[in-house]
Order: sequence, then structure tokens, then C-alpha cells
Amino acid sequence: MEKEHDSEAVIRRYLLGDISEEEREQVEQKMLTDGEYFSQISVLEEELVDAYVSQRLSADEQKKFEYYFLSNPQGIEQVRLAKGLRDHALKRRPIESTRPGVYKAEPAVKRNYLRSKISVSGYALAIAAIILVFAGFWLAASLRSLQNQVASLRALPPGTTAREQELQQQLAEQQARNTTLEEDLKREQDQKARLEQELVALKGSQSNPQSRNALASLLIAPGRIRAGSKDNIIVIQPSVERALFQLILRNAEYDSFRASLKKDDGQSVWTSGSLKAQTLGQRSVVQVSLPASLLSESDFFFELQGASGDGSYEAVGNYYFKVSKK
Amino acid sequence: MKKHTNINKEAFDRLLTWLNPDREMAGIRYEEIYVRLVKIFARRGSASPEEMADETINRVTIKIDAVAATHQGDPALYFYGVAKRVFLESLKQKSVPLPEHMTALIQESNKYQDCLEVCLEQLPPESRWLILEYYSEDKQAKIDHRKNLANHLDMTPHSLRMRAHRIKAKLKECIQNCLKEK
Repeated sequence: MEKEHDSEAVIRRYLLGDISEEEREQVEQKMLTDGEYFSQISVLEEELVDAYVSQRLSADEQKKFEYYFLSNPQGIEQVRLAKGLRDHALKRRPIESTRPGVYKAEPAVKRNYLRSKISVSGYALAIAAIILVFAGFWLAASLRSLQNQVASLRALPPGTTAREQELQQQLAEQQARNTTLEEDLKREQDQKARLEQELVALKGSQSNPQSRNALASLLIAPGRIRAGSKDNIIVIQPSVERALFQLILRNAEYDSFRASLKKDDGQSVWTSGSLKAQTLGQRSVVQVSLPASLLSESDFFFELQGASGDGSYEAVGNYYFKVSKK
Repeated sequence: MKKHTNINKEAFDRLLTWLNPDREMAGIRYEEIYVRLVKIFARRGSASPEEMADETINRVTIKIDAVAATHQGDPALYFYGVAKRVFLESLKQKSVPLPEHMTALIQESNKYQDCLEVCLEQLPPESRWLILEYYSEDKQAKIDHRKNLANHLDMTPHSLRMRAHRIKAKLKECIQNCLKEK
């Protein structure tokens, strides 16, 4: 911990130009050769920019900061972004802080809320669609009844116009409501159709019999929780040439990814090139395709790393699975 | 991948092979070195760090055959040696702009603010919420607020900083593109 603080102190002095030439060279060489160290510098640099923007630097530090950071477009850009975000956040603060269900909720509640958001919305959509269908029938029936009343009133002699106008107004209102409901119904139906397509795509990706001959595939969530369970077993038949893994992402904020296939004991088997996140239904996934011959009947995991904008790689998560050969 | 001018394709290919025999991994390593050189020049107070990183890479590429045959160890360190020379030469040529002049550039323009708004809207809702919460207090209150935010998100303060860093990287890229279009 103390070492970490020492390292942070050196980086802070480096960022403010308050460092000997020898130390500077050590820091810079490490920046070039050690990705994690480079990330640490980038993060501390942003902390310093935040401190400058919110006037938390001493007069001396502020002077140094301005000299070293504001002498090039990158530094200016960093300060502008931090200042813009701070101003934006401070302006919005009263609205954002009252946002229900996320920050105010207890962590467990919040996690459940986030986890269930997608599946709950699926059920809610189905129920809403049923209600809208019934409401549509009811409105159509009442509309027909009103139309009949208007038609019969039209047949009456003059003097009954006030009642007729009232009924026509009711009819217009009903028609307007009906149109809105029809639009809602159409929207819900479209959404339902999209959800069904997603479901087919998800099922298809795991059980398409056509692809099963040449390709075995597996959709995996990160973490060890389901290791060895039925869901995380990929079956490799003799005819299978390639294995396709879809690694579900918790967040897709990285520019690109790389995946390392490792045996359960950590022995490295294979490393991918640069991979991009893709959308599969409502999920973001990274697809990894590799020769099935690399997979023996054993326990494996993918170590997924994400490349951030500054070129460094960070651990995203491990994806555990078992290979079964038939 | 950014490819620099004034160097021929063969030399550039040899440079990539020197960085890593696997073409894709070489591309990743190349970008890493470029981005880090830019940062090094920026922190040395260079007014045009990207140009200087380009110049460094050009010089290494031009001499790639000799370099690849003789240099031992991490290629990044060879780039570093060249980068130091490029920087020292630049000191003889140019004077560093006065901070007072540059601070004027930070003053918010409407265009920048508009782009920031647009780009914030393009973020996934959870990322937008997180980054605005991250900035939503000032001075000492900000430090306490971030600790609370990390607790509520079941993250360590370091993970929260990394997450905010990634979101800001996305925002920066989006704002740059937006400013070019406007």
C-alpha cells in the first residue's frame, strides 16, 4: 500500500514536471513498456485535471499544472472536457440525484433492478400488448355503437342538432383515442416481433443444426458461478472444425478486446488478435472463433482484456467452460 | 492503424514485423507505442506532441534494417532513445507557448458545449449517469461523493476511476468527431 502511494507521489510529481531527469526517464521508460503503469498515469493525470478544474490545487501546483498541461492541445482538451462535465453535472445535479432505483437504492436492490430490467420489460411488453388488444376491441365496439347513434340521429327532424353535435364530439374523441391506441398497439407489436427475433437469434446461435456439423458454439457469461454447469459445456463432435464462443460483456466501453484461452491451471493455449464488441439481440458480446483441434476434453477459460483509448489493456473478466468430446 | 507519411510500405512492414511477427499483435503494439510517445511529449511540454511522435516513428522506420539487426530488448525502449533526441532538437527550434495565451483557448465555446451535450446523449444511460454523478460535486465534497458512489456501485475507488476514464475516452473521441463535422 505504501509502495502504491510512493508510486502515485512520483507520478504526480512527474505530471507536474517536479521531478529529476533521472526519475523522469525511469517513469517514461516504464510508461512505454508497462501497460498497467501507463493506465495508472492516465488515471492520475485525469485526477490532476479534475483537481485543477475544481480549484483543489495549491498555488504552486496550479502554476506548474498550467505550464505543463496547457502548453499543448491534448492538455487543453483534457481540461475542457473535465470543465464541461463538471459544469454540466453541477447544473443537472438536482434532477439526477433524485433518479429512482439506481443510486438511491441499496446495492443489492440496484443490482437486481439492473439484472431484471431486460427480462421484466419482456413480460411487461407482453401484458401491455394483451391489454391493448382488448382495449382495441372495446373501442372498436363503442365506436360502432356511436356511429349507429349518429346515423339514427341524422334521420331525426331538425331541433335535435345539439344532441347530434354532442355525439359527434364524443365520436371524434373516441376516434382520436382509438388512433393513439392503434399506434401504441403497433409499436408494442413491433417490439414484440423484435424480441422474438432476438430470441430466435439467441437460440439459433446455440442450437442451429446446420452449423453444428462444422461449428460448435457457446454463449458464456463472465465469472465462475456457472463453471461446470450444463450451460457452460461445449460439445465437440468429430466433424466439428471450429468452435465459436460468444462472451457476454458487462460493459462494451472498450475500443477493442483480446482473448486468451487458458487451461484451468492457467496454462496459455491460444491468444486472439484484436476483437470488436458486437450486438447480439440486446446483448453486447465478443465473438471468438478458434480451431476445435485446440480444445481437448478439459476445463478452460477465456481471459478477456479490453483496450482503452490510450492503448493500454485492462482485465475485463474470465469466462469459464468445459469441453466435452463425443 | 495510423500510418505515417514519408516512409515506404516495405520499411513500415519490416517495422511491424520487428514489433511482433503476428501482424495483428504488431499493429496493436505499434498503436500503444504511438499513443504513449504522444503522452510523453505532451508531458514534457511539447506544443505538438503528435508531430513529434510521428517524427520519432519515421526516424526508427527509416533505419529499421539496422535497428532490427542490432537492438536487443524491448523495441519500445529504442523508440524512447530516438524520442529523447527528437525532443532535444525541438527545444533548439521552438519556444514553448505562454500558458496565458493557451488558457484563453479553454474558455468554453458554444460549439464545444453542444458537442458535449450530443455525445453525452449518445452514451449508454448507465454510463451517462455514472459520469455525471462522478462530476456532480465540487472541491472536498467531490472526494467524499466519489467514495460513496464507489460504495454504492460495489466498486473500489480505483475501478470507479478506471470506469470514468474509459467513459471520458469515449466522450473525447465523440467530441473530436463532432467538432470536425460542425
